Amino acid sequence: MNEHIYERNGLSWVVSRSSGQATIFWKGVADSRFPGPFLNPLTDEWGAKLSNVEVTVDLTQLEFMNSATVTPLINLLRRLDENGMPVRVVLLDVEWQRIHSNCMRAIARTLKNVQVERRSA
Amino acid sequence: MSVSMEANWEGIRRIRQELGLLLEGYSPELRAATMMAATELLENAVKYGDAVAQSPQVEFELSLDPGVIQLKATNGCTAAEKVERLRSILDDLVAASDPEVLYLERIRQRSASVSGVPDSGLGLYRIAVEGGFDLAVTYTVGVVSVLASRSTR
Repeated sequence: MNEHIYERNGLSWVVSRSSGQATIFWKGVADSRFPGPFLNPLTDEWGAKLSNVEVTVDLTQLEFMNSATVTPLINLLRRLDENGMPVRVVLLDVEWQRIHSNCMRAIARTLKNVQVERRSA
Repeated sequence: MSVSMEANWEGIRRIRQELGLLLEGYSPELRAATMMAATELLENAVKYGDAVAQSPQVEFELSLDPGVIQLKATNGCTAAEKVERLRSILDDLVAASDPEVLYLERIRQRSASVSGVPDSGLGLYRIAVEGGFDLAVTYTVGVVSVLASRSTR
């Protein structure tokens, strides 16, 4: 397993890879005014690198996300969806992540290979 | 709680954290929804506000009455079209038989667009649909206020 860590302004984006699988962790606070310049290049890079693996996007450690981050997150999910491999979005099954969960379910309905799961705390 | 802040992005995180502390005794759902709604209101005020003599800074108010929580963000605004755009979004939300369907449509538009839909008002839809707040706007002589209110239950 290898791990790549990217951080900016309270948000950590961690890619953890092992054979046939990868997890992209979003950790901390996503409240940048312009999140695209940080997140979109990561989407381009890792969307290509993860073309043949099942990917989990793990938001269980995401404490807050503003609406400006919705577009880069959609871009990531759409890019991964284009690879044709299963994509899981994981959130915590606790009340305070319901807001993220509803948003993710709304996005997932627009994509073919993306499923949203709520994990027990 | 009443805060006056310069129109800068950094102050928004601090206000959200203060709100989180203030609302620790309330349900996690209400606390998270309020923190989200306050953030979106303040981000809009910073993004679209103009410093005018009547309102040189962004003003934010939280009021907690029995059973009701209210958030109000006030900022200067010199462009009538920005206010009309705001009113148009709120009118759409009020007119929608199912506001969630409208919200999903806005998200779909973003998902279908290569670069996203600029100025889509997603934050306002999010406050209403995800947060469960009612929204209202007032505009008087270059000053716009957006009020978000909901039950604390």
